[in-house]
Amino acid sequence: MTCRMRMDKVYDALGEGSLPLLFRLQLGVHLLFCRGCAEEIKQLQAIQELKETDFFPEAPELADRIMQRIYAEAIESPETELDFAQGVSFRSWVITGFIILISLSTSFFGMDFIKVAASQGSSFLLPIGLTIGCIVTGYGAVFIGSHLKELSDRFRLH
Amino acid sequence: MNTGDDFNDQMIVAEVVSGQKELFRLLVDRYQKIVYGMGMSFFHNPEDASDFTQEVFLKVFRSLPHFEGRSRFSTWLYKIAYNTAVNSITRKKEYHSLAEEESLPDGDTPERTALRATVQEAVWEAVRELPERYRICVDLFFFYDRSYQEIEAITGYPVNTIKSHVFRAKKLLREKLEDFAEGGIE
Repeated sequence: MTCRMRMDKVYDALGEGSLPLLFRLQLGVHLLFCRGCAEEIKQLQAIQELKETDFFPEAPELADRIMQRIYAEAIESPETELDFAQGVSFRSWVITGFIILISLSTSFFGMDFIKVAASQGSSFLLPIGLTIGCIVTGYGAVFIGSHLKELSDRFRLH
Repeated sequence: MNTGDDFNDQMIVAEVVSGQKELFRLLVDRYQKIVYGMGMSFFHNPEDASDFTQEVFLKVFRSLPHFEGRSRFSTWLYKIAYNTAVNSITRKKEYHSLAEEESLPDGDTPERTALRATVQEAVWEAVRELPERYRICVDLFFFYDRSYQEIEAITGYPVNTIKSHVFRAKKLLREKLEDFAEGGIE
Protein backbone atom coordinates (compact mmCIF):
# COMPACT_ATOMS: atom_id res chain seq x y z
CA MET A 1 0.00 0.00 0.00
CA THR A 2 1.40 3.41 -0.99
CA CYS A 3 1.53 6.50 1.24
CA ARG A 4 -1.23 8.10 -0.81
CA MET A 5 -3.56 5.11 -0.37
CA ARG A 6 -2.88 5.07 3.35
CA MET A 7 -3.66 8.74 3.72
CA ASP A 8 -6.77 8.33 1.51
CA LYS A 9 -8.05 5.86 4.06
CA VAL A 10 -7.26 8.24 6.91
CA TYR A 11 -9.12 11.12 5.24
CA ASP A 12 -12.05 8.85 4.35
CA ALA A 13 -12.33 7.82 7.98
CA LEU A 14 -12.70 11.43 9.17
CA GLY A 15 -16.30 11.78 10.28
CA GLU A 16 -16.97 8.06 10.02
CA GLY A 17 -15.59 6.99 13.39
CA SER A 18 -12.39 5.09 14.03
CA LEU A 19 -10.18 3.14 11.62
CA PRO A 20 -10.00 -0.68 11.73
CA LEU A 21 -7.54 -1.90 14.37
CA LEU A 22 -5.33 -3.75 11.88
CA PHE A 23 -5.00 -0.67 9.69
CA ARG A 24 -4.17 1.48 12.70
CA LEU A 25 -1.39 -0.91 13.66
CA GLN A 26 0.00 -0.90 10.11
CA LEU A 27 -0.23 2.88 10.00
CA GLY A 28 1.53 3.18 13.36
CA VAL A 29 4.47 1.14 12.06
CA HIS A 30 4.49 3.06 8.76
CA LEU A 31 4.60 6.41 10.57
CA LEU A 32 7.78 5.36 12.35
CA PHE A 33 9.59 5.25 9.01
CA CYS A 34 7.70 7.74 6.79
CA ARG A 35 8.38 11.36 7.69
CA GLY A 36 5.90 12.77 5.14
CA CYS A 37 2.90 10.78 6.41
CA ALA A 38 3.92 11.42 10.03
CA GLU A 39 3.92 15.16 9.30
CA GLU A 40 0.49 14.97 7.63
CA ILE A 41 -0.98 13.05 10.56
CA LYS A 42 0.57 15.56 12.95
CA GLN A 43 -1.17 18.37 11.08
CA LEU A 44 -4.51 16.59 11.23
CA GLN A 45 -4.07 16.12 14.96
CA ALA A 46 -3.19 19.80 15.32
CA ILE A 47 -6.38 20.73 13.41
CA GLN A 48 -8.33 18.50 15.76
CA GLU A 49 -6.97 20.50 18.69
CA LEU A 50 -7.96 23.77 17.01
CA LYS A 51 -11.57 22.70 16.61
CA GLU A 52 -14.15 24.06 19.01
CA THR A 53 -11.77 26.78 20.19
CA ASP A 54 -9.72 28.66 17.63
CA PHE A 55 -12.30 28.95 14.86
CA PHE A 56 -14.92 30.78 16.90
CA PRO A 57 -15.15 34.55 17.33
CA GLU A 58 -14.66 36.02 20.78
CA ALA A 59 -17.99 35.94 22.60
CA PRO A 60 -19.14 38.45 25.22
CA GLU A 61 -19.59 37.07 28.74
CA LEU A 62 -23.22 35.95 28.70
CA ALA A 63 -23.28 33.39 31.51
CA ASP A 64 -24.46 35.87 34.17
CA ARG A 65 -27.29 37.16 31.98
CA ILE A 66 -28.38 33.63 31.05
CA MET A 67 -28.39 32.44 34.67
CA GLN A 68 -30.33 35.53 35.76
CA ARG A 69 -33.00 34.81 33.17
CA ILE A 70 -33.18 31.20 34.30
CA TYR A 71 -33.60 32.15 37.96
CA ALA A 72 -36.18 34.80 37.05
CA GLU A 73 -38.15 32.30 35.02
CA ALA A 74 -38.06 29.73 37.83
CA ILE A 75 -39.60 32.31 40.19
CA GLU A 76 -42.23 33.45 37.69
CA SER A 77 -43.32 29.96 36.63
CA PRO A 78 -42.77 27.40 39.40
CA GLU A 79 -44.31 24.70 37.20
CA THR A 80 -40.93 24.51 35.46
CA GLU A 81 -39.44 23.36 38.74
CA LEU A 82 -42.32 20.98 39.35
CA ASP A 83 -41.68 19.48 35.94
CA PHE A 84 -38.08 18.81 36.98
CA ALA A 85 -38.96 17.14 40.27
CA GLN A 86 -41.99 15.15 39.26
CA GLY A 87 -40.83 12.33 36.99
CA VAL A 88 -43.99 10.20 36.60
CA SER A 89 -47.18 12.25 36.92
CA PHE A 90 -49.79 11.78 39.66
CA ARG A 91 -52.35 10.76 37.07
CA SER A 92 -50.08 8.06 35.60
CA TRP A 93 -49.55 6.60 39.06
CA VAL A 94 -53.29 6.38 39.71
CA ILE A 95 -54.02 4.86 36.28
CA THR A 96 -51.22 2.29 36.67
CA GLY A 97 -52.45 1.34 40.16
CA PHE A 98 -55.96 0.96 38.85
CA ILE A 99 -54.79 -1.31 36.02
CA ILE A 100 -52.80 -3.50 38.45
CA LEU A 101 -55.81 -3.79 40.78
CA ILE A 102 -58.21 -4.69 37.96
CA SER A 103 -55.76 -7.25 36.54
CA LEU A 104 -55.29 -8.95 39.89
CA SER A 105 -59.01 -9.03 40.72
CA THR A 106 -60.10 -10.34 37.33
CA SER A 107 -57.57 -13.19 37.51
CA PHE A 108 -60.01 -14.98 39.84
CA PHE A 109 -62.50 -15.23 36.98
CA GLY A 110 -60.07 -16.70 34.43
CA MET A 111 -60.54 -20.26 33.12
CA ASP A 112 -57.10 -21.36 34.39
CA PHE A 113 -57.94 -20.21 37.86
CA ILE A 114 -61.21 -22.14 37.84
CA LYS A 115 -59.41 -25.29 36.67
CA VAL A 116 -56.78 -24.99 39.41
CA ALA A 117 -59.46 -24.29 42.01
CA ALA A 118 -61.39 -27.40 40.89
CA SER A 119 -58.37 -29.69 41.18
CA GLN A 120 -56.60 -28.20 44.22
CA GLY A 121 -59.50 -27.09 46.38
CA SER A 122 -59.16 -23.79 48.20
CA SER A 123 -55.77 -24.46 49.88
CA PHE A 124 -53.84 -22.32 47.36
CA LEU A 125 -55.93 -19.23 48.04
CA LEU A 126 -53.82 -18.18 51.00
CA PRO A 127 -50.47 -17.77 49.13
CA ILE A 128 -52.28 -16.09 46.22
CA GLY A 129 -54.04 -13.74 48.58
CA LEU A 130 -50.75 -12.92 50.29
CA THR A 131 -49.02 -12.25 46.96
CA ILE A 132 -51.78 -9.97 45.75
CA GLY A 133 -51.84 -8.22 49.12
CA CYS A 134 -48.08 -7.66 49.00
CA ILE A 135 -48.20 -6.24 45.46
CA VAL A 136 -51.06 -3.87 46.20
CA THR A 137 -49.58 -2.77 49.56
CA GLY A 138 -46.11 -2.28 48.04
CA TYR A 139 -47.46 -0.23 45.17
CA GLY A 140 -49.61 1.83 47.52
CA ALA A 141 -46.68 2.48 49.85
CA VAL A 142 -44.40 3.67 47.03
CA PHE A 143 -47.20 5.81 45.62
CA ILE A 144 -47.99 7.46 48.96
CA GLY A 145 -44.32 7.85 49.84
CA SER A 146 -43.52 9.60 46.57
CA HIS A 147 -46.60 11.85 46.65
CA LEU A 148 -46.81 12.85 50.30
CA LYS A 149 -47.04 16.56 49.51
CA GLU A 150 -49.71 16.25 46.82
CA LEU A 151 -51.81 13.82 48.88
CA SER A 152 -51.67 15.91 52.04
CA ASP A 153 -52.63 18.99 50.00
CA ARG A 154 -55.47 17.14 48.31
CA PHE A 155 -56.94 15.67 51.52
CA ARG A 156 -56.01 18.69 53.68
CA LEU A 157 -53.94 16.64 56.08
CA HIS A 158 -52.00 19.53 57.61
CA MET B 1 -18.86 7.57 21.08
CA ASN B 2 -18.84 9.40 24.40
CA THR B 3 -15.72 11.24 25.43
CA GLY B 4 -14.78 12.23 28.96
CA ASP B 5 -16.23 15.68 28.45
CA ASP B 6 -19.54 14.25 27.26
CA PHE B 7 -19.69 12.04 30.31
CA ASN B 8 -19.15 15.14 32.41
CA ASP B 9 -21.86 16.93 30.48
CA GLN B 10 -24.29 14.12 31.20
CA MET B 11 -23.38 14.13 34.87
CA ILE B 12 -23.96 17.87 35.02
CA VAL B 13 -27.30 17.47 33.22
CA ALA B 14 -28.36 14.82 35.76
CA GLU B 15 -27.44 17.12 38.64
CA VAL B 16 -29.30 20.09 37.11
CA VAL B 17 -32.40 17.99 36.50
CA SER B 18 -32.32 16.77 40.09
CA GLY B 19 -32.56 20.38 41.23
CA GLN B 20 -29.02 21.86 41.26
CA LYS B 21 -29.84 24.65 38.81
CA GLU B 22 -26.66 26.61 39.49
CA LEU B 23 -24.60 23.83 37.86
CA PHE B 24 -26.18 24.76 34.53
CA ARG B 25 -23.65 27.57 34.48
CA LEU B 26 -20.91 25.00 33.82
CA LEU B 27 -22.63 24.04 30.58
CA VAL B 28 -23.13 27.69 29.65
CA ASP B 29 -19.44 28.43 30.26
CA ARG B 30 -18.43 25.43 28.20
CA TYR B 31 -20.63 26.07 25.15
CA GLN B 32 -21.50 29.77 25.02
CA LYS B 33 -18.64 30.60 22.65
CA ILE B 34 -19.73 27.90 20.20
CA VAL B 35 -23.42 28.84 20.32
CA TYR B 36 -22.47 32.50 19.92
CA GLY B 37 -20.35 31.52 16.90
CA MET B 38 -23.37 29.83 15.33
CA GLY B 39 -25.39 32.95 16.12
CA MET B 40 -22.84 35.12 14.30
CA SER B 41 -23.02 32.82 11.27
CA PHE B 42 -26.81 33.13 11.09
CA PHE B 43 -27.42 36.70 12.27
CA HIS B 44 -24.19 38.51 11.33
CA ASN B 45 -24.19 40.96 14.24
CA PRO B 46 -23.14 40.74 17.90
CA GLU B 47 -26.43 41.93 19.43
CA ASP B 48 -28.58 39.38 17.63
CA ALA B 49 -25.99 36.67 18.25
CA SER B 50 -26.06 37.47 22.00
CA ASP B 51 -29.88 37.35 22.10
CA PHE B 52 -29.78 34.11 20.16
CA THR B 53 -27.28 32.58 22.59
CA GLN B 54 -29.46 33.49 25.56
CA GLU B 55 -32.58 32.13 23.88
CA VAL B 56 -30.85 28.85 23.03
CA PHE B 57 -29.63 28.27 26.58
CA LEU B 58 -33.07 29.08 27.99
CA LYS B 59 -34.61 26.54 25.63
CA VAL B 60 -31.97 23.99 26.58
CA PHE B 61 -32.62 24.56 30.27
CA ARG B 62 -36.38 24.13 29.83
CA SER B 63 -35.87 20.96 27.79
CA LEU B 64 -33.25 19.34 30.02
CA PRO B 65 -35.73 16.91 31.65
CA HIS B 66 -36.42 15.57 28.15
CA PHE B 67 -32.76 14.99 27.28
CA GLU B 68 -32.46 11.20 27.13
CA GLY B 69 -28.72 10.93 26.61
CA ARG B 70 -29.05 9.01 23.35
CA SER B 71 -26.68 11.48 21.67
CA ARG B 72 -23.86 13.64 22.98
CA PHE B 73 -25.18 16.56 24.99
CA SER B 74 -23.34 18.94 22.65
CA THR B 75 -25.07 17.45 19.58
CA TRP B 76 -28.45 17.87 21.26
CA LEU B 77 -27.55 21.47 22.13
CA TYR B 78 -26.42 22.23 18.55
CA LYS B 79 -29.67 20.78 17.23
CA ILE B 80 -31.68 23.14 19.44
CA ALA B 81 -29.44 26.03 18.37
CA TYR B 82 -29.76 25.13 14.68
CA ASN B 83 -33.57 24.86 14.85
CA THR B 84 -33.81 28.11 16.79
CA ALA B 85 -31.72 29.92 14.19
CA VAL B 86 -33.48 28.43 11.17
CA ASN B 87 -36.92 29.24 12.59
CA SER B 88 -36.02 32.72 13.77
CA ILE B 89 -37.86 35.54 12.04
CA THR B 90 -34.95 37.94 12.50
CA ARG B 91 -32.50 35.64 10.72
CA LYS B 92 -30.53 37.13 7.87
CA LYS B 93 -30.96 35.07 4.73
CA GLU B 94 -27.38 34.12 4.06
CA TYR B 95 -25.52 31.70 6.36
CA HIS B 96 -21.93 32.84 6.78
CA SER B 97 -19.48 30.02 7.29
CA LEU B 98 -17.01 30.29 10.17
CA ALA B 99 -14.40 30.02 7.45
CA GLU B 100 -15.30 33.60 6.54
CA GLU B 101 -14.64 34.83 10.07
CA GLU B 102 -11.83 37.37 9.91
CA SER B 103 -11.80 38.76 13.42
CA LEU B 104 -10.31 35.74 15.13
CA PRO B 105 -7.63 36.40 17.73
CA ASP B 106 -4.11 35.15 16.98
CA GLY B 107 -3.38 31.57 17.99
CA ASP B 108 -0.88 30.60 20.68
CA THR B 109 1.86 30.08 18.11
CA PRO B 110 2.44 31.33 14.53
CA GLU B 111 2.18 27.74 13.34
CA ARG B 112 -1.23 27.36 14.95
CA THR B 113 -2.43 30.61 13.38
CA ALA B 114 -1.12 29.56 9.96
CA LEU B 115 -2.71 26.13 10.22
CA ARG B 116 -6.02 27.71 11.16
CA ALA B 117 -5.81 30.00 8.14
CA THR B 118 -5.12 26.97 5.91
CA VAL B 119 -8.20 25.15 7.19
CA GLN B 120 -10.33 28.28 6.82
CA GLU B 121 -9.12 28.78 3.26
CA ALA B 122 -9.90 25.18 2.29
CA VAL B 123 -13.34 25.23 3.87
CA TRP B 124 -14.16 28.62 2.39
CA GLU B 125 -13.25 27.44 -1.09
CA ALA B 126 -15.51 24.44 -0.60
CA VAL B 127 -18.52 26.18 0.90
CA ARG B 128 -18.72 29.22 -1.35
CA GLU B 129 -19.95 27.05 -4.21
CA LEU B 130 -22.51 25.24 -2.09
CA PRO B 131 -26.18 26.18 -1.81
CA GLU B 132 -26.56 28.32 1.31
CA ARG B 133 -28.52 25.76 3.31
CA TYR B 134 -25.78 23.12 3.04
CA ARG B 135 -22.92 25.34 4.20
CA ILE B 136 -23.59 24.60 7.82
CA CYS B 137 -23.00 20.88 7.17
CA VAL B 138 -19.39 21.59 6.23
CA ASP B 139 -19.00 23.92 9.21
CA LEU B 140 -20.43 21.32 11.57
CA PHE B 141 -17.94 18.82 10.24
CA PHE B 142 -14.81 20.96 10.30
CA PHE B 143 -15.38 23.43 13.12
CA TYR B 144 -17.94 21.83 15.41
CA ASP B 145 -16.28 18.41 15.17
CA ARG B 146 -19.45 16.46 14.36
CA SER B 147 -19.63 13.10 12.59
CA TYR B 148 -21.85 12.57 9.54
CA GLN B 149 -24.51 10.90 11.67
CA GLU B 150 -24.48 13.77 14.14
CA ILE B 151 -24.80 16.33 11.34
CA GLU B 152 -27.79 14.37 10.05
CA ALA B 153 -29.31 14.44 13.53
CA ILE B 154 -28.79 18.19 13.80
CA THR B 155 -29.85 19.35 10.34
CA GLY B 156 -32.07 16.54 9.11
CA TYR B 157 -30.19 16.28 5.80
CA PRO B 158 -29.44 12.73 4.58
CA VAL B 159 -25.98 11.37 5.41
CA ASN B 160 -25.11 10.86 1.73
CA THR B 161 -25.87 14.49 0.91
CA ILE B 162 -23.72 15.62 3.83
CA LYS B 163 -20.89 13.30 2.80
CA SER B 164 -20.87 14.59 -0.74
CA HIS B 165 -20.62 18.21 0.43
CA VAL B 166 -17.92 17.45 2.97
CA PHE B 167 -15.96 15.33 0.48
CA ARG B 168 -14.86 18.28 -1.64
CA ALA B 169 -13.87 20.26 1.43
CA LYS B 170 -11.78 17.33 2.67
CA LYS B 171 -10.07 17.07 -0.71
CA LEU B 172 -9.29 20.77 -0.73
CA LEU B 173 -8.01 20.60 2.83
CA ARG B 174 -5.68 17.81 1.88
CA GLU B 175 -4.25 19.76 -1.04
CA LYS B 176 -3.76 22.83 1.11
CA LEU B 177 -2.10 20.83 3.86
CA GLU B 178 0.32 19.36 1.34
CA ASP B 179 1.21 22.88 0.19
CA PHE B 180 1.44 23.95 3.81
CA ALA B 181 3.88 21.13 4.60
CA GLU B 182 6.01 21.94 1.56
CA GLY B 183 5.99 25.72 1.96
CA GLY B 184 6.11 25.90 5.76
CA ILE B 185 4.96 29.06 7.49
CA GLU B 186 5.11 32.18 5.42
